[in-house]
Amino acid sequence: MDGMPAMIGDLLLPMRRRFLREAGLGFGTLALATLLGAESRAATTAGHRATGAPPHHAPRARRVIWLFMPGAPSQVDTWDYKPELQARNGQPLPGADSQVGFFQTSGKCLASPFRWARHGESGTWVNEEIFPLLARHVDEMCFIHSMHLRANNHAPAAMELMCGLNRPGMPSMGAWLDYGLGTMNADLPSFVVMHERKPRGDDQIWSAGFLPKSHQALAIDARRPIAIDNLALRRGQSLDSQRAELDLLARMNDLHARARPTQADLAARISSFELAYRMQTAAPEALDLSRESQPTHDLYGTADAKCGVFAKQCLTARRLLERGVRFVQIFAGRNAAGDGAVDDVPWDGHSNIQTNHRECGLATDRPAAALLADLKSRGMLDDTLVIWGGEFGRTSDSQGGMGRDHNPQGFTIWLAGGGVKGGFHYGATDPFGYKAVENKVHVNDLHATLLHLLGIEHERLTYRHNGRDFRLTDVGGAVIRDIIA
Amino acid sequence: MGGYDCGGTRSGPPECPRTPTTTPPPTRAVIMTVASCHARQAARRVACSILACVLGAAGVPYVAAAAPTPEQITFFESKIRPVLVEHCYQCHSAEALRSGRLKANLLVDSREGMHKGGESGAAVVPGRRDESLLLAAIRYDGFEMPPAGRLPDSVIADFETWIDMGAPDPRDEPAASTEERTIDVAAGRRHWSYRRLAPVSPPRVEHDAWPRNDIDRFILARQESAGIAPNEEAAKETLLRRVTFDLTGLPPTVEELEAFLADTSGDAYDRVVDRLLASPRHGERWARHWLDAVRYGESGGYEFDGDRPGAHHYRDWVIKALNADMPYDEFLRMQVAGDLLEPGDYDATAATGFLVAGPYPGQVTAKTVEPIRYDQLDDMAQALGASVLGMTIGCARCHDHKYDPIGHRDYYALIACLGKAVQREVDIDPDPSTTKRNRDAWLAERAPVAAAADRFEVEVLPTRLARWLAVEAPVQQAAAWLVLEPQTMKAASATLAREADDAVVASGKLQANDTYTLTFATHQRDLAGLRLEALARDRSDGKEPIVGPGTSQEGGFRLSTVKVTAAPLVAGPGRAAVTPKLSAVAASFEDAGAELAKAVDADAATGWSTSGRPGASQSAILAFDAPVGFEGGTMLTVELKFEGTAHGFAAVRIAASAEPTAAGLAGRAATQAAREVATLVDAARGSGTDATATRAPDLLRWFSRLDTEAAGVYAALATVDAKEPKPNLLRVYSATNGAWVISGNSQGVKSGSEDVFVLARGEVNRKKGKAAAGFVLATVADDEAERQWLAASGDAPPPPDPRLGLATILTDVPRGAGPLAARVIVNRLWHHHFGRGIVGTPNDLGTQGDAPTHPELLEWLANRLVEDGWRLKSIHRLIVTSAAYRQAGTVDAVRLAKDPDNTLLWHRRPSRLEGEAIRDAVLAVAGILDPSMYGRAGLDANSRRRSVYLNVKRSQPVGFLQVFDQPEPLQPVGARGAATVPTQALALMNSQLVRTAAEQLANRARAALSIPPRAPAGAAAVDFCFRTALSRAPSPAERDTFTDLLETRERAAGDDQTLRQAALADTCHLILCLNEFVYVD
Repeated sequence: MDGMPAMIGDLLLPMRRRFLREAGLGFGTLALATLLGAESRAATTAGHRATGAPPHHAPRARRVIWLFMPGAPSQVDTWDYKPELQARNGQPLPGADSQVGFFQTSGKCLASPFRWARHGESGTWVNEEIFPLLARHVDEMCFIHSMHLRANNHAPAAMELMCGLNRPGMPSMGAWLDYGLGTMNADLPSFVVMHERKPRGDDQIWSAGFLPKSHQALAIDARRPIAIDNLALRRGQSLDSQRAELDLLARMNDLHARARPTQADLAARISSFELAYRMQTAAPEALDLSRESQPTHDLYGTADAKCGVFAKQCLTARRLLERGVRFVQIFAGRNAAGDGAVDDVPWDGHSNIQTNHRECGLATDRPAAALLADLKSRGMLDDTLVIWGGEFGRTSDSQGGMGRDHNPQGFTIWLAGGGVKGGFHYGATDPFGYKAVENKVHVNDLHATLLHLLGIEHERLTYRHNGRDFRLTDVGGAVIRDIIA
Repeated sequence: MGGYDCGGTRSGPPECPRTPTTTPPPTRAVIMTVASCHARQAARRVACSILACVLGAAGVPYVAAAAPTPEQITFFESKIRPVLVEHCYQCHSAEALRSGRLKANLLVDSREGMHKGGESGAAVVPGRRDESLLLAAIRYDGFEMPPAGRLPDSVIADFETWIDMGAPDPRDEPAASTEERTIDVAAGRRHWSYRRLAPVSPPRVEHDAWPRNDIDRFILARQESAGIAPNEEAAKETLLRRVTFDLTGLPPTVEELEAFLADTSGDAYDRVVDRLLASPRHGERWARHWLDAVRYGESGGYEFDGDRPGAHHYRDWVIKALNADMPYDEFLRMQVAGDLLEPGDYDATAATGFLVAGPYPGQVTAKTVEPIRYDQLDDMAQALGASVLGMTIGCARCHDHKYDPIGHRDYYALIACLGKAVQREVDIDPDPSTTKRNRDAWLAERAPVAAAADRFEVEVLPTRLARWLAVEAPVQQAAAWLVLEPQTMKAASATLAREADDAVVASGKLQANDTYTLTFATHQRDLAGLRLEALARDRSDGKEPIVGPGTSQEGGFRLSTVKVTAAPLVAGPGRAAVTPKLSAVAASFEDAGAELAKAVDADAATGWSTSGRPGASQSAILAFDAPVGFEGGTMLTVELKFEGTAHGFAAVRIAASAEPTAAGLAGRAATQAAREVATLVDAARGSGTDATATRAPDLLRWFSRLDTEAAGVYAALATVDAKEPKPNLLRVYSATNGAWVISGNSQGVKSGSEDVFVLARGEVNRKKGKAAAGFVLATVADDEAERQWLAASGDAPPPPDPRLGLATILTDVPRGAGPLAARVIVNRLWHHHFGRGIVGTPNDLGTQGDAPTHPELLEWLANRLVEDGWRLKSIHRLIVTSAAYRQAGTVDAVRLAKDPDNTLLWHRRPSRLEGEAIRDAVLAVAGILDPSMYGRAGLDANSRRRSVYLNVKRSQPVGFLQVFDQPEPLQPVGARGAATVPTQALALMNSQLVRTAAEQLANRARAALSIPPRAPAGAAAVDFCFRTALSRAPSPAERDTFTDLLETRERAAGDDQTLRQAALADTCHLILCLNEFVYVD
């Protein structure tokens, strides 16, 4: 905006503030923030946090990778060992509740059909049959065994877990983070979702909801040849010829903007073309796994038929995180165990928990363990928060003999790195792993804690929509201080 | 017992919605226990349900306990009271009540308070551990109290002991009074947007020459009092581009531009406005704005995101209604109750798509069906509230609205009006008058044919029949087998067709695991068995000389199951369909282990096959366990199953016999017709009548197979009957009253209750009795208005359907919510014309929404709308012909200093086009926009239809529109964002859509200027593209710049024809990337 009379420039500050508020800014923010000066960074009007503003307090984690296990792993067949359940296989489940579950269950205990053992200095019980490699990392993991939420079907539960509400329309956590913290790399989006099959609820669970569209996730579908729409140059175009065009475009747009000094987004739009130009090279570079060494590929298992897709996703995620992407979410794995589970909800072991979970373990254990090892060896685990879990848990009683139904009343997730205690267990389910009873953690509490680790006070991250100030944690949420290292 | 309710969190102040910073909570003794909140509340059970609910417990009378013993008192004083004081009083005592810290309406500082309990019910029930919520809370079972940390087990055990002993409690003082917050309706009616409409006179202004209509007087008056002068009128090019985009969502054409520039008459602009308002493009443009406000989508979202192929009829209806300038009150009435106002009418039915446009789960089980139903009602209420009433009614799902005068009661009253509305796909004839006209024409055409047939039956048939009976019948009837004439034939995969010899031939998709279903009509009464002939013959495609008798590669088949059903043609008592048991009689050949008997056993894996004799026709006889045949005729259904790996018959002919065993495999066969005729005649004769009189139609049908003259008559009748016009039924996704049938993957759940209950805290397991239909009382003139339209009054019964009452009360101006509805819509129009509404929050005209910048103008516009018969086009015309709208965008430091935000509207601010308008403009300037209206255009952004016709699939947003801020079709949206992100630049630079358009624009330029393919395009082409895309000529500098680029690229291309062509396309492409292209001044 140079060339504009200084006085007008000063007068425009309120307009710029409003622009920041109304229009919202995407990963072009930093450039614009620079353009407008420090003033815009502090712009907080009517409860709005301007994008790119500094965090509320020193963050413990700078980035997050969420390994989402769609379909819902069974807590009592993964990380929540229950001797009582093992001992009472086939006997009535005390406290069996007909309101738990989505279909019908037997009310009879189903013991975990897997081999369990204690691992690590923490002596953590692990189903080592499906997690032989993750078992080596239990001392880095912080387990929350007392998760619970309300929805008892996949899509609403995934919405609840990501957006805080079991109905569509709310912004997801990644969008809130982008809104609250802005970007760390202007050439890449800061919220990326990866999937092979769209999980149930698809765009609704990584939606920007009512936040400005600039906070929407970039979704990378492993089945598509093109990761990002319109990233490839058109046929016959070269970067040089495009450079020439963009230079001309910038001149024309600059003249246009000067004649309209009240319209701050015109300038933003000029820089957005530059950002797009850089993204054309930055994004393919970030997504190019051929730049990784063979040992790294071997570590993740990218050539393994069972886990190759998830391995590539995890490796891509690490590359994105290295380059400043703040939040990556991977919807993992597909199930080919022939137990009836569908590939968009691979962990959905309704008919046979053993064949189902064994297959899901093969698809996810090695890449997830590799990711932890890799982040650690690169010194990134300290400020990268890794989250593993599904949208809810499964029933301790059986469904149709060998299966387990949905159970939102108690399940386990684990966190690692990013300021949480390692080898630590928080909360507990009852002796049968059926319902969370001790130190129960609702999704709001989890979100409050994650935001806290990222430097944000969850009650202060708000956005006004249709007459009220919304936040990720709605009207709930308490930071779980006990799990913070 | 600390608070963890929706008034705040354990650690922070209430924030839902924002805590007012300047004004304290409104009323005096009002306790904000239900502080804050909104609809999400209902979606959560534990997080904030807190010892919940509204005097759910209030109905339970407080009963004094028996006097405690001294030991019990000691126990209480030593073990119980100290804990209550230390851990609970802070939030649950009279002191907490006085200081505004009381949570959940629960007081534990008195016996009465403990027993009466709070919002969830009694905290303590003597002797009843299970019912004592306090115990559950301190056990952290459901509630978690105190929030700071669970009490030691020993303390919890003390409370258990204490409750077991009858909860002795010496505290006799009465509990403090905790009234729920109540809505002050009378005060609510004084809120500016809820008031009755009041007449407003335009103010006087000094600069009397500026106003073009009364709108300008309101605008200018405020400017004058602030010492600001308005801008001059914008240049004609600018104005035309502005108003054309605003009213139609498209840029003006070059011809329109030239005509307007050439027209110097005083009303040139007014005539442009009239033209644009009359254009069908207007409805397309403004429908999209409305669709934002009503969360319009064409799929269910949630699990599976199932398509709603009939949902777009609603969108088409909106377009039509806006184009026709349907009065806005009628527009609303139709959307709320069109199905009731005009039952069976296509338009009225389509209109109700509004109610059910929201997302809906694709998987429902018994455990989720009820919460889903209430979520759906909530979605309807929120959509209605936001779009029509500018109201955040969802906040009242769990409790009274914290800031607006909307009661919990109002919310349930409203959803009770909607309680019977369910989503349905109904088949409707969109044009019944044409259907009737066509049918009348057909009947007229048929009449002479039918008359001829009647004449034939009376005058000719008896004679010819008699001669046939005498001469031919004896010969024909000697046959042992009647070859049955197939009436219908279908297969799961193969295509079946009947041939002249009554054989059914398979073609098309010939694969294993098929089922043929054939039907036959007969009047025979004593059929005892069937003969199946599996015929080896030419396949219909003629590619192979001989195939069959089966469809496998080798011509084999395996008939795994045969099922025969006989049903009466004429229904009557004792005439149920029968399924005779079949037995194998004989087969011409059987493979070992694949005998005919295997086709009539229970095992689907085995069957009859004849592959040992490939290429040869085979036959088989199956006998019934009892003869079949109904008086009046029988419909025989023969199912031939070829299951698993089995292949079917290439051609099959079926014959029936009264004596199948005797008739034999090779018994003489005749066509069915002769015997049918004879049977009809005999049967009639037996009852003393003449078949030509009593059974003429049946006789004619069969006799036409035997007699050429009868065949002619019959064929003429059949030909005209085949032309019977069918209505063009459309499947319309809409709302209708009816049983609430669960669609989707329902796991056996069929229906739910139609009653709507008031739900404490919005939770379905806490019903407080049936909700009575009603409305938001603060928005109507008086309580009587609600009674008049929605409730039973005195002895009068309630109106027949509350949804009809709702439709009326919504738009009634004198006493209903009409004034509010009018203010909301005129503000929306203003919002879309000026980029910001008179109220900046178009979906919220409540106390938390923005205050109007020009309240009197808003009131005046609302009055005008009503006076003009609710015609929106009249308001559009007023707005876009005003001087305020026609201003230039010029700014200067002096005026900016006085009004930097342009609140006083002294200049025009440029605004970015929506994604739909950008895409449409790209297609339009390229000359490739497909102007066809309505229907579904799919999900491909490269389609050439207008964007409003692209499908709105909730899981698959159209990328091009999504990057340009198309909102999620999940919640009502009143004002779109206009974010700036690099993916927009990528879409403009690299997408196929924009490139194609650039190439087409280049072609248009060459064609218009008659530039030969090999010739350089030059400055004239640049001029053309500027005028087409930007509605103006380039400045000399711009012309030079773009021409330079063009010529440089043309030179670089040398003789390469493609590259030379691309040079102009590149230039056009750049023009489409200009900010000016997507910003309208």
